[in-house]
Amino acid sequence: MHILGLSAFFHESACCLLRDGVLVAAAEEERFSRVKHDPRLPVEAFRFCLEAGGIGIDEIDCVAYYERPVDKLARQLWAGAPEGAGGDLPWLDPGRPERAIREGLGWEGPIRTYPHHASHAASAFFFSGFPEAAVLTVDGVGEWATTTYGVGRGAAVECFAEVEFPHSLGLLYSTLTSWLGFAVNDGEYKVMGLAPYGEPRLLDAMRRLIATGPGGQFRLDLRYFDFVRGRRMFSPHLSELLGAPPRRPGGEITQLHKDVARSLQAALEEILLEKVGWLHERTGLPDLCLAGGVALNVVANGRIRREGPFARLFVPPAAGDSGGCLGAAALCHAELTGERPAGTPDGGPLRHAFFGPQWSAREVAALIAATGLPARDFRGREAALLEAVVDRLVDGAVVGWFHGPLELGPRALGGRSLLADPRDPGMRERLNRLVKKREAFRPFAPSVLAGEAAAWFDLDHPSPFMLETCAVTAPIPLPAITHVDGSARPQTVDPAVAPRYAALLAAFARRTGCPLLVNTSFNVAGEPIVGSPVDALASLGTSGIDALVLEDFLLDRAGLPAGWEERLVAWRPRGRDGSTRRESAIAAELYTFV
Amino acid sequence: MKDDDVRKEACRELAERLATPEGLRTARLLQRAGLLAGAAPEAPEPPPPLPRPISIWQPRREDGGTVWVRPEPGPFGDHYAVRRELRPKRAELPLRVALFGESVAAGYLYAPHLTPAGVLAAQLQAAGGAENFEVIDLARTDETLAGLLATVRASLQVNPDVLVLFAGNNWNLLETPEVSPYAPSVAARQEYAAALRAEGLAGPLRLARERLRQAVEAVYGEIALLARTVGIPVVVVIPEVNLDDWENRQPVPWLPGDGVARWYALYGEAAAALERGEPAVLERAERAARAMLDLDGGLCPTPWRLLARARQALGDLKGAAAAARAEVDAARYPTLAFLGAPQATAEVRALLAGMVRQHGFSGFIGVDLPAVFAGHTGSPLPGRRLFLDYCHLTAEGMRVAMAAVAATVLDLSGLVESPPDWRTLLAQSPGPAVAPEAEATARLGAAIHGAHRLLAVGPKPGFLAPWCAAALDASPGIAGTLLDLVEARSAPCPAVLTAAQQRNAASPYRLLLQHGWQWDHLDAEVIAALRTALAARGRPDEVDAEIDRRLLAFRALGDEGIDLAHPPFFLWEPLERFYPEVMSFADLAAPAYLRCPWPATAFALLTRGDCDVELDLTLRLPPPPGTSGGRSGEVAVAANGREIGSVAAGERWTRARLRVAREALHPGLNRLTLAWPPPPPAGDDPLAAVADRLDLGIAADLHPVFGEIFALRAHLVPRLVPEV
Repeated sequence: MHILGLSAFFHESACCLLRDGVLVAAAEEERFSRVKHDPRLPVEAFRFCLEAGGIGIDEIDCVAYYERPVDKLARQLWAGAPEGAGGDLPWLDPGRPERAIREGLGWEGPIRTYPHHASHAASAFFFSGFPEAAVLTVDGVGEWATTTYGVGRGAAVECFAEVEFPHSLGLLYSTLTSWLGFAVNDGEYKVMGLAPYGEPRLLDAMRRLIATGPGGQFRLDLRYFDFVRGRRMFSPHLSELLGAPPRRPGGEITQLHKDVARSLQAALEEILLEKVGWLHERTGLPDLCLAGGVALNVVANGRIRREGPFARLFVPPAAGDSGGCLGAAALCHAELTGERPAGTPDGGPLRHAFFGPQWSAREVAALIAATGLPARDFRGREAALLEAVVDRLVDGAVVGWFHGPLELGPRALGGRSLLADPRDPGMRERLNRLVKKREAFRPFAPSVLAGEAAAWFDLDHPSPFMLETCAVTAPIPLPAITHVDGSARPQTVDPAVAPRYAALLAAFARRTGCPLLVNTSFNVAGEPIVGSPVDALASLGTSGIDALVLEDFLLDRAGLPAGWEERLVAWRPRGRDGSTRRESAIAAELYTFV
Repeated sequence: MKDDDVRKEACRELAERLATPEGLRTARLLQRAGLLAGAAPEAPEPPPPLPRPISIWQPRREDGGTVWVRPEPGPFGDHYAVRRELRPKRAELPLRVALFGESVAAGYLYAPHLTPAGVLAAQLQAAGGAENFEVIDLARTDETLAGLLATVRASLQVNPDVLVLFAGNNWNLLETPEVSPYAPSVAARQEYAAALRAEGLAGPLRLARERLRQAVEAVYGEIALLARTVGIPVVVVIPEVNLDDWENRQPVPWLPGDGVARWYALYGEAAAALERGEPAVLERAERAARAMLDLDGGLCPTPWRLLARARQALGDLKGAAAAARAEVDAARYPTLAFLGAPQATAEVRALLAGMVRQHGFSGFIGVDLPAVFAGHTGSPLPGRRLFLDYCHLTAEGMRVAMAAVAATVLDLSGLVESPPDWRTLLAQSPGPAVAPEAEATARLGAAIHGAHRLLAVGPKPGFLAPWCAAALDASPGIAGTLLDLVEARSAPCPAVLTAAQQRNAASPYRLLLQHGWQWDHLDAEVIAALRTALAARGRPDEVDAEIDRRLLAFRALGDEGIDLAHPPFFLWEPLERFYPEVMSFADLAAPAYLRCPWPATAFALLTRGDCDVELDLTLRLPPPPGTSGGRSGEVAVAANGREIGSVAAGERWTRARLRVAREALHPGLNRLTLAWPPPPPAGDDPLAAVADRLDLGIAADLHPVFGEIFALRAHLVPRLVPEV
């Protein structure tokens, strides 16, 4: 049985394919279209899933969509159209998703829809390997729910409590993100990274914004928020409360801004820990599954794991909306078969996120030959390739690493990564300024051999998806990956799952004694992570990296012909139809409710 | 129940009703009636203070004054003149002539080596003295009316003495994009539906005409006011377009009953008759074309083109010209669902002439290029001699056009005792020469760019091959560039990443964006054209071998197979898609399958020709709008014109396998064609169903979709037994 799962029309469109309950392919549309956070119908991701599954459109049994359009419209009507949403009211049409699936994808068969938070819950539980678990989902908003509490058991995930819009932890965080001058649905990570530079001296102010309630409930004080009807996320009262005007985008980041970020983060962690505690009390279960956009707050996840009452925590690699398609597909499988989808071939937890497209060495060889770029060919000589990469890393190079299938989710995990020496004191600044072209305060995360993790981090369990922070306990300084509060967000690399990447870490360890590398996503600010070898080659010219490993080939930036970078910068990467790339799909000032 | 709960319940029920067709229709009716409006748009921002940018020239303080400086052009060029600085005038002379306009005025395909501004300057200076005249080039490709006004207004900061406005070709989709069934606006779609219901396709045409007239009158009125205030004359150039060596053959929109099938049958008849070319047969072509016009009400350009061809072949040039002009007028964008070529219509010329009359007292003077070109060539059918493509000028075209402008400016200036007429000026001062390499590059660009805008049901080589040959005539060294183009097109990456592009960037035949270099399709027609041109210069076998070698180096069908119907597209005619799919609009991304708007769809198959090829097709036949149930037929599949089989298809996806024997293939480029059955009769008013959909705010096609292809996978069938 083939179930196709779809997330679309809100944030991060994506598509996945389940075959007999096992995930065989999944990808976000942005990696194909090159439009960051692309919310449109995931046409390319859809075609990829079929091709990866070796099936035609006539072999899909059912399409599962990750939310209920009618319920979502009801909430949008209740909230009223936000000012500045435009006079056209296209969103009054709840038939649009189904029509898009039929007319845009050509799908003729049955379509089933599932509540947004149920899709989040299922994306975690059915891929966790837990036979039963408590399930917590937290995001901006789905249809009505912003937070749900439930239990996953067997083939079902039952929700027993929820918090309704407009009371939302995700929107709280997004509102302060906006006040801090960052784009909503894009800048929350930056706020999280900024927090350790501040003091929680405004925690009381944050507690005025959000008040906990009985059980799983909490409420926002809506006097401070304007996201329901206004053109901005926050009302003027918020600035009065914080004692300063909102930060202008791109403006100076002051200690106040850092303190606001820290206080917000503390408030979020406080309330999440409380609600996790309540959930544990309510369910009595030892394991917790967590999903929804707020589950990408790795700092909060770290505290939940360390200080929370649950013995084990599972957060899926695509915990945000792009993962909703997995949950919808899993729910559909359960509904149609009456059985729990295995999720993985052995029914255990997801151990990797490598479900996207990949290219053969032959295809890469043909591409390189067409470019005429000088490249070293290491086909059949993996050990020599790894040594050549280590040579460059210890010399201080930033190396683009393109290997195997594309990762699902926001993190690069050794498929599409930029790698660097974590011991280098200047590396963080260089990566931020020259390569990623992003704010200087943002930290980088490491990949570490799974067997060595406990010796370098306060981490006693696998963490394959970089979804929690922990303390750095390394025997040597690791300035490139240690945040200002001594924490890091490590990825543990299992040789059974990513053999070449693990072998690279091992080679680096043999040379330096350090079994870990800086691993940041292979992209520059404003662009999605590279998807194809063409994207990677283009980035070699425009991103400031020193070398690129494209499967079995190694290219050095120094070997690029004259004018290459200039031509690439002048060239506008095209969408799939040859059209020019569009800018990010996010409306920077206002959460995309419609 | 609390008030809030009551409200939530009401919203839930309302959402459920909106999920029904009647519910959504009710909401959209409320919108149309103006009873349900969204938020008001934000007020426009006030204009920036002086000094303001002039187009892309940014103001910079220097020595107590202001100079306007543009960024360096990138390696692929851009849409603007390359002149780095603009400075205010310091003295009365030289007289400063400012040229504004669209890609024609910017010298598209020749720029920066040769531009109308450069030609105009040379002619004025030759006739009137270098110290008396200068020209600043403020034209840009993709110029709009709003952009034109803004640039004219800003240009007053550098004190022009004469304004020359050379615009009108772009006055279609760029100017009133809301008059389209694909406009990304519910209100626009509803308005389109209302016009369609009221007057058929003539309704949206009228809407577009009115909107354009209002926009032109507003902009030119504003320019007249500015000019009058400053006291400077305005020369308005009325554009001419290519009528002989260009075509706008588009599909016909839905016709009632079996009109579509009959129209295409007549088309086939007319095209075949034109191919034969004998007078008796040509009259048959004319009759068929007129019958097509009867069916489509003259609103489709294709039969006009066929009529023009027939009339021309019969020696009636005036009749041919009239039909060709009607063709241009019929290719207007309200029915245009296909990426065509912008050409000024009769309506545009009338509007411009009207502006000249209306604002004559403000110093408006017209230059009528249609009359000038006809006088120069002696033919009412301007073609390849003056035009590189649909509207962009050859070097000769530029010189003639600018001679007419120069003569007018000389006359206005009062600086020349006996200002010459344009013929005299042209003879005495033709303008600057262009280097052979630049000429060759422009001609090759004409072939490439032409292929990317020429929508023709029928072979393109007649348009493209002459330009490839002309490029070689101008500079034989461009042969290497032609071969580099083949290599770039068949590379498994965008052209910009290829070694071929790197070689070209360092050559004297550097192709820029304007030449269509960056085009991620195979460009089969261009390849065919340059093969013809190269082979004609000798050693055709070597040429063929080299082109095939380059084509097959990266793109030869391999073991893993390829889906011809998906990017990288191997469509023979990438333009034969609805333009929202070619352009990929914000809310109208291309679907996951290929929609075929023509009776036949062709693909390019690159193979070494030493194995059979198996085709795995998934296709279906969509029903006409407002109908359902029962469309079925045979889809014939051919390889290089030889039928290899057929697929019995219906309204749901059908999967079939066909084998192409290696004897039907040759090494290199092969053409696979799917011929669709005609659509069934569409009822009395198929466009009513289209209007219903638009009323709901949903985009709709005015044109039939003959077939849809989800996949067309081709893969090699390995030989089991080696040949003895």
